[in-house]
Amino acid sequence: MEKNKVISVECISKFYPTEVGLMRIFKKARLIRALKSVSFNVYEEEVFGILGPNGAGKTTLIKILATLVLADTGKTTMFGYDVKQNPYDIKNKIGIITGDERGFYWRLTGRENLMFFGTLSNLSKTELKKKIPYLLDFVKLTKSKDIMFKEYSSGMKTRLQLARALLTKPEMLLLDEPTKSLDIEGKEKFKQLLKEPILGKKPTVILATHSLEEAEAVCDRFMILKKGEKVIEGDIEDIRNFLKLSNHITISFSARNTDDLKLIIKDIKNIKSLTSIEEKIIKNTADLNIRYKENPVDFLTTLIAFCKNVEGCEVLSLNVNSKDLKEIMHLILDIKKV
Amino acid sequence: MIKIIRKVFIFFWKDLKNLFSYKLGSVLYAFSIFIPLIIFYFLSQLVGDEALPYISKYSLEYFPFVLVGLAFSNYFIFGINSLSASIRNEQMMGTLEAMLSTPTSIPTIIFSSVIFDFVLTSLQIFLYILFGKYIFNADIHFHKIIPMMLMLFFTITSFGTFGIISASFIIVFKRGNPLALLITQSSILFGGVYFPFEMLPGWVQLFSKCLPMTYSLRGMRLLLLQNAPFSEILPDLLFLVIFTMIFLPISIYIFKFSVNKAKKDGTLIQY
Ligand SMILES: Nc1ncnc2c1ncn2[C@@H]1O[C@H](COP(=O)(O)OP(=O)(O)OP(=O)(O)O)[C@@H](O)[C@H]1O
Ligand SMILES: [Mg+2]
Repeated sequence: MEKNKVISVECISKFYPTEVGLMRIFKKARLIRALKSVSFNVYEEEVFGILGPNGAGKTTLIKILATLVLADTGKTTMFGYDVKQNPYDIKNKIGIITGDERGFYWRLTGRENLMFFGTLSNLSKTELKKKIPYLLDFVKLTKSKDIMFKEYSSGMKTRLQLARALLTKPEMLLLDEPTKSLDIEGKEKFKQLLKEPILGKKPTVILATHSLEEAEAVCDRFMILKKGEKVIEGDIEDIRNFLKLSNHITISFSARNTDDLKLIIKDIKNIKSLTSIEEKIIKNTADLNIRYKENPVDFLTTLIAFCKNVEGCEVLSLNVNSKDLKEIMHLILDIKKV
Repeated sequence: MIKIIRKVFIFFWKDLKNLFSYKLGSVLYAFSIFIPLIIFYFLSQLVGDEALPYISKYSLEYFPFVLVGLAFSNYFIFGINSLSASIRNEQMMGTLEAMLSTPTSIPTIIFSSVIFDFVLTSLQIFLYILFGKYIFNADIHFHKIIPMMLMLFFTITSFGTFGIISASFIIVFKRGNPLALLITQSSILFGGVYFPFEMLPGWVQLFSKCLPMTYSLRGMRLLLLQNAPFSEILPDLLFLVIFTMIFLPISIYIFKFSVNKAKKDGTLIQY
C-alpha cells in the first residue's frame, strides 16, 4: 500500500549570515552554508534518519521543519501546509526535541514547566492533569517532578523534553540528537519507544543523529548530509545498491571426496540472497568466493549448517567482509571528498 | 478566546512563581518602591509655595503634582523596558524558541510576556497614590473612575508601542536598544514628570507636544488633582487614542518582522 507523503522538501537552501549584530549595518555579512539544494520526502509513520558529521546541517533542517528557521529558497510542505504560510497548522501537529538543554524555565519545577508548555499547546486543564503524571512516569521523572529544572542533570533535562514533545500526542516528532545525554537504559527505552509508540497512533519520526548504530536500529530510511548537501537517501538496501555493495565472504573447506564438496556447493548455490559465487576445487578442498545480500550472521549460520550436514566436512578458513552502515558512511563521505 | 485567556493566565502564574522563588528579592523590592515617594515628600516641603504659579493649573501644592508624575512615568518605564527585558531573557534561556514552537500567536506572546510586570507596576502606582493621599495627605480625588480608566488604558497602549519596537530591536540586534534610554529620559524631561512642560521654552514645547507622556500626565493630573470634567481631558484622551491606533499596529508589524528576521538569521536562540 502506498503511504501518504507527510513531508515534501523541494530544493531548500539555507545560508546563515555571520554578522547578525549591529555591525551588519556597516558591513556586508559573510554567509555560511548550512544547506544547499536539499530535497526529500517522508511518508506517514516512517522513521526517517538524518545522518551526517558535525556541521552537516541536521539541526538546521530540523528547525526548518519546526518553522523555527526560515529557509532562503525552496519549498517545504508538511501535512500539505507550507511552513512559511501556515506555521500554526504545522505547530499543532509536531513535537520537538531540540538537542539543546535549554528551553525550560530554570526556576520552575519539571511538572510546572510541562503545565506551562502544555497550556501553550492548547491542552485543557483536565488533559494536563491526566497526561503530565503519566508522561513523567514514562520518562522516569516522577520522583523529581517537584525539583526546579536548574537542578536536573543533562539526562533528566532531555527526558523532560521528551515528555514535553509527547504531551500533545503529535503526529510528527522532530528529534535532534535525542539520546545524546541518555544512559544505556534510556537509549534502549528510546529505541523501544520509536518501535512501539505509547500514545495511540504511531507518529512519523524525523531523527537527526550521529549514532549510526541507533539509526540502523530504528530508522526505516535515512538521508546522509555532508556540508549541507544530500549525499544519498534511501533504506540500507538502496544505499548498498547505489554503491553496488554486497556482503562478501571467502570460505575454504575440505571434505572426504569431491562429490561431497559438490553436494555442499549445490546447496549453497540455492541460497536466495546469493548474488555471485566463484569456486575453485583442488582435490578435496574447495575455495569459494561468495557475494550475497543478507545479514552476515544469518548467512553464515546457513552456510555453516550446510557444511555440518555432510560428515567429514571441515571449514579451513573463513573471511567475512560485511559493509555495515558505518563503513558505508565512511565510503560515501570519502567518495564525495575526491 | 478561552485558550488565549488561559495562556495569559499561565504566563502570569509562571512569572509569579518565578518572583516568589527569589524570596529575599521580592521583599526588598516591595520596600524599595516607597523610597522615591519619601524623597519627594521632603523635597516638596523645600520647594514650598514658589512652585505654585507654574503648577496652579493642576494643583495647589508641588507634592501631589510630582506624585502623579512619578507614578505614571513608571508606566512609561514599564512600557518601554518590560517586553524587551522579558524577550531578551527568553531568547537566552531558549524558552522563546520553545514557545514559538507551540501554536501560540505573536500578539498573545507579546501581551502575555508583560502582563505580570503590568500588574506589578499598576499595584505599585496604586499604592503610590493611596499612600500619597492617606499618609502624606495629598489632595487627590477618585471621582472620575470611567474617564480615569479610559485614560489609563490608552496611556498603556501608547507607551506599549515604544516597548514593542524596542523589543523588536533586541530580537534582531541582540543588544539593548540605545534609543530606549534616550526616549525614556527625554520623555521624563519633556513630558512634564517633575515640572509642567509649559515651563520649557516655546520651541521645546513643540517637542513635548509630540510625546504621549505629556497628554497622559496632563489628563491624569486634571482628573486626580482637579476633579476636572470629562470634556476637559477629551483632547488628551483623543491624542492617546489616535497615537495608539496608528502606532500599535505598526509596532506589532515591526515585531513580527523581527521574529521572521531572527528565524532567517537563526538567532531565535542565543547565548
Ligand atoms: N544560528 C547560526 N548562525 C550562524 N551559523 C549557523 C547557525 N546555526 C548553524 N550554523 C552553521 O550552519 C552549519 C550547519 O549547522 P547545523 O547546526 O545545522 O549542523 P549539525 O549537522 O546539526 O551539526 P552537529 O552535528 O554539530 O549538531 C554549520 O556550519 C554551522 O556553523
Ligand atoms: Mg546539531
